[in-house]
Amino acid sequence: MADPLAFLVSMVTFSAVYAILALGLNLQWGYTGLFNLSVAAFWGVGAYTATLITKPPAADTAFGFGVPYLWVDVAGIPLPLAPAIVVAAVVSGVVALIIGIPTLGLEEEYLAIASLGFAEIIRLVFVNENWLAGGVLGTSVDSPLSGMEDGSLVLLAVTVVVVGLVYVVLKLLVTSPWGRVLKSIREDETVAEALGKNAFVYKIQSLVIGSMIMGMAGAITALQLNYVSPSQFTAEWTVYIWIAVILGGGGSVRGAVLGGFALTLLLEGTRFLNQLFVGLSSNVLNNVRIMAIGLILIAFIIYRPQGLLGDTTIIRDMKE
Amino acid sequence: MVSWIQVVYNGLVFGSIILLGAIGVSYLYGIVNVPNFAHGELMTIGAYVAYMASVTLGLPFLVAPVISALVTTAVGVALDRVLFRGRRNWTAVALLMLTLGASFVLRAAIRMVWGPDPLSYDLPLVRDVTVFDVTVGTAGLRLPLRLDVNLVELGIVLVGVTLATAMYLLLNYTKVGTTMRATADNRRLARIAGVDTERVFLVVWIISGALAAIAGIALGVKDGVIGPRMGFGVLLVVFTAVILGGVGDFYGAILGSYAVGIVHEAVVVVPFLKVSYGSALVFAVLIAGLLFKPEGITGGGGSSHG
Repeated sequence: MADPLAFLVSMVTFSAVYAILALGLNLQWGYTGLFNLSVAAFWGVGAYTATLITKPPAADTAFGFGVPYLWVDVAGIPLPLAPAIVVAAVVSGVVALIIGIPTLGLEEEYLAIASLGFAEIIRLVFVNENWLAGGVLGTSVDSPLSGMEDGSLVLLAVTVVVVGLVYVVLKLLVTSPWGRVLKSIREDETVAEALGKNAFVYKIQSLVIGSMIMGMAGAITALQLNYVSPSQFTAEWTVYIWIAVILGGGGSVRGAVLGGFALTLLLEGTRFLNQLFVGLSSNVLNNVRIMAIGLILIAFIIYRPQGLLGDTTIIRDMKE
Repeated sequence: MVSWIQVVYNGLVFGSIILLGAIGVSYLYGIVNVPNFAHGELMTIGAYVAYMASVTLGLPFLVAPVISALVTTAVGVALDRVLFRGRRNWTAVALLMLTLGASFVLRAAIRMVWGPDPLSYDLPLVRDVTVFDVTVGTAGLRLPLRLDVNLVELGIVLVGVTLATAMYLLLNYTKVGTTMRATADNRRLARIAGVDTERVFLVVWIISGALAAIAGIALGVKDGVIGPRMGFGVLLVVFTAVILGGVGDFYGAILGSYAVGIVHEAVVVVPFLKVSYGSALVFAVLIAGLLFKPEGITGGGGSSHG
């Protein structure tokens, strides 16, 4: 493939992955009002899970089960069941359940702090436990696409299919009675409780489903990077995905997908600054970029909290 | 086996640094309703401004904290003016999002000015002094008792305790302190009673900024290095201390900080855990604390009785 095309394919794949992460966070925050600050951790758990289970049993990691990544051969026919992506989602969901039980009964700021703490614990495990997956150095991914000529296109197709599936499922979920209960919890938990809905159970379900979606994004990222290491899943990424959701619009499934693409524009598009200010050091330029992204987040929260396509009731929720 | 006395001493040193951050976070959260996720960056700025004063400008090291406290306070007050002042009716969560953005911007600014690599204050090396080193107990159960201290660490504890005492006196024996407590209890009632709440918020930002600067410097002196992520790295430990103590609760912040400091250092006695898991142990305690005692150790229901 020509270089510009390869770049485009890679950028669209990244955007689609951000869109998946934003879809997960949007269910949690946009629809249910859950302030989850461990997006990067669920993304990482998904990536590590998929990487580890697909390794051959003799790998240098803690374990390897040789689970197929994207397809299962049944009598010579490859069925696209994506076992690694499914298991990554399940493991992320279980982790979300563990963090949700102690924190979801509390005020929303506490979930923010506890989930950030939880993300840090997970990052520390990835960094310190060399036996698990190579510690700081990380470990390579046994990608079924590595030998393939158009592997990056196949990956893009897989990613787009996952975005599509998640989109459809979420759209069905949020317009169902279940989705309306979530929104009522976001609006006013007491009202939902008064109507006989157990808000805690709904919040747990929303957190778990959203985190499973993030885990799926992780399994795809591992394939795209062909390598997993703790430096990929830092707290900055949690903020980036928050930016994607706020830009696209909380409480809008379409908005989350748009936000994923907007995030790529922000992360990559701001690189044109490097051409604009020649003569400045790359450190200064990089940080001008990060600063601009932070300022855009602040500007959106202040001037357009509903984002591009979001639910305007979010504005009312922000005031006491 | 590890000497428990040493663990407690190390915990008091680290806890004193956390305390300086926690008083600010607790009051910003409890009084101004801002769960300040940019507080780590205020600490980092404090550490770097002191570096600029003492290393770059060559001023005496004891002058550096004064300059640093002034600059960091100015940054804090500027944050309040630009981001929070016009939005006093926003929920804590909405304000939290703004502080996340602010922390991003400030961290980028820090890296822009001072670069991404760690720096160090040019301080003379201070030797550890062994206070005692004995083993007590009988042949069956032997308990090693050893305590190594150094002047820098003792200085940090002294600074922490002194500033906390100053805060105590301010809160309980001055008019400003009374208005702060009133605003913490009930902002609207305080306003009706004639308290200038905007002035209270300003005082809280000034105190928080100054204490954050000192905390950042103390952290840099203790660790021997300063870096752009240093404050962010301890932010969650500070928040844990505040939450365990009860938000807005002054005594709770003190208790929470030292408890968290000791837990952080006690990682050395936990089998199979590497020393770098100190903060993970703290977060585990936080999550357990939230589960079993969400109202904080002192059980004050979140209201201030400082």
